Amino acid sequence: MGRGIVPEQRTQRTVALAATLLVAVVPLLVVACASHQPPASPTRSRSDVAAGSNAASAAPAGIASEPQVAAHFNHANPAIVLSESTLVQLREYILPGAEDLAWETIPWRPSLWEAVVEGDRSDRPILLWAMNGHPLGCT
Amino acid sequence: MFRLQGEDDPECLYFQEIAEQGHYRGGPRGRTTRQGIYAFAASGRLLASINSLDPQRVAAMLESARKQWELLPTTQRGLTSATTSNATTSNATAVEGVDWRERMIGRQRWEWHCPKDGLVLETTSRDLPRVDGATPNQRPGAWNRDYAWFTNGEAESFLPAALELGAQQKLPQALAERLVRFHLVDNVRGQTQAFDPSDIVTATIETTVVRKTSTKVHLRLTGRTHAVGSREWRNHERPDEARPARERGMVCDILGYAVYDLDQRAFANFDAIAVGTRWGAALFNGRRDDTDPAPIGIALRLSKRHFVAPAFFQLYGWKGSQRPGAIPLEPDGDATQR
Repeated sequence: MGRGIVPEQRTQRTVALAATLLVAVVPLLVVACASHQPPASPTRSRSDVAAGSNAASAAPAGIASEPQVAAHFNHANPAIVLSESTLVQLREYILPGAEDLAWETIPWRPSLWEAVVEGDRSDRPILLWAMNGHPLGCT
Repeated sequence: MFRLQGEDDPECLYFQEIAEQGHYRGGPRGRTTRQGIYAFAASGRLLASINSLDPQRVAAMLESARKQWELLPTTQRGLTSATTSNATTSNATAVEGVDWRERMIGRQRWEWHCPKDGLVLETTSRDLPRVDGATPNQRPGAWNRDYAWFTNGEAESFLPAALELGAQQKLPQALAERLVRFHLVDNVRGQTQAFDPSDIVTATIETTVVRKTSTKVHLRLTGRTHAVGSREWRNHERPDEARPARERGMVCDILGYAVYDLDQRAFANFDAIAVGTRWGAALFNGRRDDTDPAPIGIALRLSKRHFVAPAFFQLYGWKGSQRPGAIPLEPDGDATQR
């Protein structure tokens, strides 16, 4: 499914508004579709990743680093090298940050019917977020 | 969502009755989408609905729903058998001594089959910086999440037979290919397609014991994958719409570490990433105008979230997973043996 850009500031405002409104409702999530900007962070600089600069090793303490994984496998950006020295930085770049995960602050129920029964018993309306793919991920 | 809008169990019929009051009402059941955001009373009365990612429009919809709720008489809010249609309630399986409300839970809940004693990974996908510093033409900050499941037996297949320092293990081909087909896919911008078995060019994942204690085995994971598909695009909602076959592919290198707890017979940690190149587009993954090769990254981490099934779980080949009504679901043989 194609989706438009959701500017970060507006997204934050809507999450805040939803959280306020949802105090009185039973939120239910069938599918969550996240389309947020990655948070700015000095530890996951775009230019650093592109340049393949060094970062702390991911190897457990006491383990000597293995030889660099052969990374040039027709990669579209040869500057991105997957190695022991870039593993942590690449991982941090990929993983969502706190702002990406703001939607998780709403206590979504993963099952429609469970939320309906809960809403019935507590006299609250239900909010359903349903997208193709599967629950809690826009796949 | 696909289940809710197309199946006929009580939970699905209940949803369809609500959706028929909303923004996509009309059309044959299961043949047109019902995606969106809905606010409704337990009685099935719709308060408001929308399908939009515009925060301001969604906020306005929520505000409208709140006002409608306040106007709704108390007698029309609650869930009663009288307010739920006969078609819905008659599909609820009768269980003596169980309240009819509890009986209406859907028959198909894939998360019921989560291998809690196995390995559950959370996957996160995101575009990586492009060679000239250019940003993607749309949604440059997009990322996505899915889950990968392994039975207990499959999880143990990550371990070498001899748990000695330096021992190596090649992941069974069926498991490596499952990862490539369903989890090393371009879903960054949304719903994508799995690769077919014939799309697999390379699927090699290996582990090496890099440390061992009396209770823990530390593994280093490496791998290389390559899949190229050119399956014709199919859209069941518009079967007459011609979609020429286009090539799409992924090549990835994998690197990471995992810790296996011998006492618990489970992974205590799993932290790996796949980095490589994607190209082409699937029907709904938002890449139609972004088909040139571009870098992509996918993180695979241990997850405690057991209520979300993998997007392509129905293709895992686990017994009964095509329509998983039975509980518990027994895996159809161990993928490590295939």
